[in-house]
Formats: sequence, structure tokens, C-alpha cells
Amino acid sequence: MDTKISKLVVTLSVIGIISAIALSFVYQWTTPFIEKHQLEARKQAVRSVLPEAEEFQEKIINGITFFEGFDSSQKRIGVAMIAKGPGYQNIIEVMIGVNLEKDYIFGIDVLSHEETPGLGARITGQQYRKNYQNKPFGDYNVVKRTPQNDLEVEAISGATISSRSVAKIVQDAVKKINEAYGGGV
Amino acid sequence: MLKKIYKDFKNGLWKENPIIVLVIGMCPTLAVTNTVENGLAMGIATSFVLISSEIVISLFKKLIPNNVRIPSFILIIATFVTFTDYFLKAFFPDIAASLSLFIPLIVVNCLILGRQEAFASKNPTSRAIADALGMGIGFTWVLVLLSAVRELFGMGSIFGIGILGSWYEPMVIMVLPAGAFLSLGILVGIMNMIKRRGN
Amino acid sequence: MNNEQLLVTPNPHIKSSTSVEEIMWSVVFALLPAVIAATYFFGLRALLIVITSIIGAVITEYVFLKIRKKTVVINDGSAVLTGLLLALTLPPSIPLWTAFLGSVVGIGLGKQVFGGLGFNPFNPALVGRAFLTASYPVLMTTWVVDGRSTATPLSFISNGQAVKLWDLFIGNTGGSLGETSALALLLGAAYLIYKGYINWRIPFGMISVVVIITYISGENPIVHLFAGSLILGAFFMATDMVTSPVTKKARWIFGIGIGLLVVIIRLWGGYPEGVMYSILLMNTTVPLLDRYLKPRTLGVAS
Repeated sequence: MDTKISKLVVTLSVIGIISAIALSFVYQWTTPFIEKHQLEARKQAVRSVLPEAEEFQEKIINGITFFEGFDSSQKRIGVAMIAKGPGYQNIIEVMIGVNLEKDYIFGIDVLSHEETPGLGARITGQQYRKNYQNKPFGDYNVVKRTPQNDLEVEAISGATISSRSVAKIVQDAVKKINEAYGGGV
Repeated sequence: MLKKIYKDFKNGLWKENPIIVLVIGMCPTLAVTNTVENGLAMGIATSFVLISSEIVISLFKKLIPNNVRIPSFILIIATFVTFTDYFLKAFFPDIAASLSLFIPLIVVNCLILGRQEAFASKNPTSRAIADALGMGIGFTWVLVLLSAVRELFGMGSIFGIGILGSWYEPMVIMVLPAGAFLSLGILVGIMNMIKRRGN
Repeated sequence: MNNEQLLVTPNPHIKSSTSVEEIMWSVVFALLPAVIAATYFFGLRALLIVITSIIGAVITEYVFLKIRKKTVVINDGSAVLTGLLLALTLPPSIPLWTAFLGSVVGIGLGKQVFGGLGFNPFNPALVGRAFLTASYPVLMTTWVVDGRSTATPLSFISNGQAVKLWDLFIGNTGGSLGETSALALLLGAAYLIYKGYINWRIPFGMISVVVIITYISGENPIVHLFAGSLILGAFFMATDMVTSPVTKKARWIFGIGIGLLVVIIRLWGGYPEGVMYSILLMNTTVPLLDRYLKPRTLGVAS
């Protein structure tokens, strides 16, 4: 206990300052790369649900970020958003793209999830996501057989809970998009 | 001196291996070893932080007052961890995404703080480097072995390349946390058996 | 067992003329009606699964005892019983190697690594089943009756479909090998209770809690009683001597606790069935229950 308090303060401050300076250089060096990757990843996700869009624009309405997709003639062809909701084990994140003129969903893409591998994890597969391709808006009914009308969604066998969660997330997201863009439903 | 350095290096590989003997740094060991890629990346990232901070701390050990050595160590470790985090995000975005939270958590990996306290703050830099290399490699090889076992049984592949073919029914438990506990337990058991035989 | 050493065991000391061997084989015998019912309803495949599972358990027991340099005591029937119980919890369509793997894990990780018979904290058969459920969720939830894939009665309930009670009672319905025929299981259980080999408190506490709570919450309690593995679990697994408590009070708490967990999982949980996890969870409380609820010694100040 013979060390003076001033020495302790000085040592810690010096270490803190050096590390802050070093990190600020690293930050400047890496930030452009990191931003590029993030933009790319987001673009890819948007593109997967709005396949015909050429350009994208972010727009914040009611505190929710929407991605508007435009075709080559600058005409808005659809809107996408990231929606979250509880799954079987943890939050599921889904990207949803819709056509606002004709009130149907282009498609969905599962961005992140922690469902059971081999069962619930199949929500990321084509087989399940096909359920939402060109689907009209409405309240979806998850069924354990081949869908017989437009509002039915075929569950993954053995993973009804995950299937229902995604249907619920999509349903809620569509409502939010409609609220923001003043659609019907 | 050289002999001592060699001994320090060899220590972490087997005799005082951080995972199977000291049983420290369990958080990444159990959490990110579901694929070999993740295990290897975590091993290398941890080793990098360990080596850099052991070098810096053993160089400046005389300048750091005893009362504030733990906060100082943490500051230095956190700096290197943040660097690693940025670096991975910028140049290996896929690995950064799959390790996500566990890279910042290297700060609190007790293997790293433990080695500063037990070794780097008491020994010359040359020996600290040898110790960090040994511990880092010791940590990495066990992570890779563990994740190889888990990926092989849990997905039938190694490095994402299918090895066991379509006849193999993946044992899902192995990529879940429960599988991490089971395989680590069995691994430590086997290692202990080999050790006991050796003595 | 030819154990010539003097054994020092902690209390309570219960004296009984029946040996471990006798009880184990009696339980195996009591499960025979269930095996016959399973073979009748699911075909010879069911019998094959039972045999594979038993062989897996016995081989693992033998190998582990050899490695640990202990006397090999296969004829005490405990490994055979574990294999048989595990098989009865498996769906009839499961590949044979899965049944084998399950009993290897059950005996190996569930029993021998803890030190063998008498030292395992969890029911080995259920450890095997839990392992299989986590490993092969698809295989373990595919149910086939008469070559058609069906849902189990409990998943019928969550879909709001009707269940034929009589089919449920005799066992002509989807489900695991041994959980379908309540009649066959009750025959065996009655024999064991008559012989005094299993205690009635645990199954009674467990079943009555399930019946009462499902009745209060507006479900059909009879369906919940006969569907799923409640009866198999209550009479043959929760009562396992090694992994259940010894004193009367502790046995009541143990049984009621399992019953509560079963209802919680069935009504509000993600899985349609929860007997396995409920028993495994309550197994962890056994040492605690035994310690705090042991009978008070007379003449000693507390």
C-alpha cells in the first residue's frame, strides 16, 4: 500500500489513452470494410424477397425500417421489412417482401433462428418458404396436410410450433407494412 | 534458458493443458465448438489475444503498480479483443457472424487473465511468449478436436464437407449444448486415462 | 452377488428377504403383457426392437464391468430391465440400430459412468430415451400404425380431434411400443403391487395429480390417463428403486412433483408428452428429499 494514489490514476489513464488511440486507428481502418459487408448482406436479403428490384432505399416509418425496392424505371415494385418473433427456442428473424398494389407476399427469407436442427430448422428450406410465395394477405392457418386454400400454410412435420411461429411473424409483419403504407386489411 | 523456454512452451500443450487439465475457458469451449471452422477460428482468436497481451504485460510489468494490476490487465486484454473483433468483422465477416457474441466474450475468458496473473506478470518476455504460444496451441488443438468430433457426429461433415455420406443419420444432440458437455466429459475422461497410463 | 466384503451403507437400512435379482426379474416378467400387446398391435418388428435394445444393454453392461474390472453380474436382470424399458418407450417404426444405440447410452452414460447399479442418479432407460429424442427428433416422433403414419393421441388432443377411449385403453393406437396398451401395463403393475415390489405412493400421487389438474382445466382426464406414457412411467420408471426416494413423505412429494411437471409440459409446453423429462427432473431431487425427509431418530435432540 505504499504506492501513491496519483500513480495508480496515472497508470490506468495512460493505458486507457494508449488503447483508445490504438483502437481509434483500427476503427478507422476497418469501418469501411465492415459497412460494406453489412450493406451487402442486407441487400442480398432484400433481393431474395424482392427478386425483381434493381435498387433499394431505406425508409423509416413509425420507427420501423422498411426497404423499398425499385425497378429499372424507378417504379416502386415492393416493400420489404425485417420482422422478429418468438420461435421454439429463441427469436426468429424473418425478411418479408410484399407487393402493395396487389396485396400479396413476394416471398420470405429466414435471417436468423435457433430452431432444432433437422426439425424446426427446416423453416429456412425452400419447401417451407414456398408456402409464402405469392401469398395473399390475411390470417394464416397452419395445417398438417397439403394446403387447400390460399390462406393455409403447410406445417413442417414434427415442427408445428416453428411453422406456426413463422406464420405469426409474417402475418404481423404484413399488418405493420399495411399500417405504414396505409393499405387495406 | 532455452531449455526453460522449451519447457514453458510444452507445458500448455499437454501437462497443463488449459481445457483438459486446468479446465478453464469453458464458455467458448462449450459454446462455439459445433463446427470445426468455428472451433479453429475461436482457438486462433483466443491465442492471438493471449500472445499479444502476454507480450505487452510482461514488457511493462514493472511499470504497473500492484494495486491496479487486474484493471490494467483487463484494459490491455480488452484492447486486443476489440481489435480482433473489428478485424474479423472487416475481413472474415462469415466467421464473425457465426462466432458473433463470443468474440467480445474473450475478454472474460479466464484462461487469458489467468495466464497474465500466473505467468506474464512474473516472468521475462521471452518465457511469456513461449507460455502464451504453448497455452494458445494447447487451447486450439483441444477446441479443434472437440469440434471435429461434434461436427462429424452431429452433421456428418468436417469443415462443412460431407464425410459420412447420406446413409449417416446426423446425431442432432452433438451440435446442441448437451452434446458439448457429453463430448467434453468423454474427452477429458479419455485424456485422464492416457495420462494415468503414462505415469 | 458373491460379495464377501462387509458393506457399510448409509441409513435408512431396510431389511428385506427379497434380493435385487428377484425384484428385477419380477419387473421384467410384469412387463411381458406389454411386450405381447406391442407385438400384437405393431407386428414382429416391435419384438425385434425389444430384443435389440436388451442385447445392446447387456453387451454394454458386460463391456463396462470388464473394463472396470468388476464381477460381471448380468444375471441380476438390471441391464435386461433397462433395455426392455427403453424399448417400450420407442416408436415402433424406429430403425433397430437406434434402439441399440439408445441402450448403449442408457447403460453407459446413464449408469456405468456413475459407478454402476445403485449409484446412478437418473433412470438409465430414460437417459437413453432422452439422448435419442435429442439426437434423432425426426425418427423419435414418427408414429406408424398399420403401415399408416399417424399422430399420437396426445397430439390429436392438441389438434382438437376425437380419440376412441376403448382403443386407447387396449392399445390400438399410435404411440410408443409400451405406452399404448394401458390394460397390459396395468396387469403387470397389479402383479408387482400384489407382490409388494413397487410402492403404490409414487404412481398414485403422480396419476391423481394428472387426473385432477387436467379435469380442472377442462381437458378429458381419462384420455390424459391412458394416452402417452403416463402409466408406463408411473408404475415402472418412477418407482425404480435406485432413483426414487425411500421415505413415505418423500415418495408423495416425488410422485406429485412428477405429476405436476407432466401436466405443465402437456398443457403448456412445447412437447405433446412430458413423462420422460418429468421423471428425469424429479430424479435430481431424490438425494435432497431423502436427506431432509428422513425419519427422525428417537431419543436424539434435534
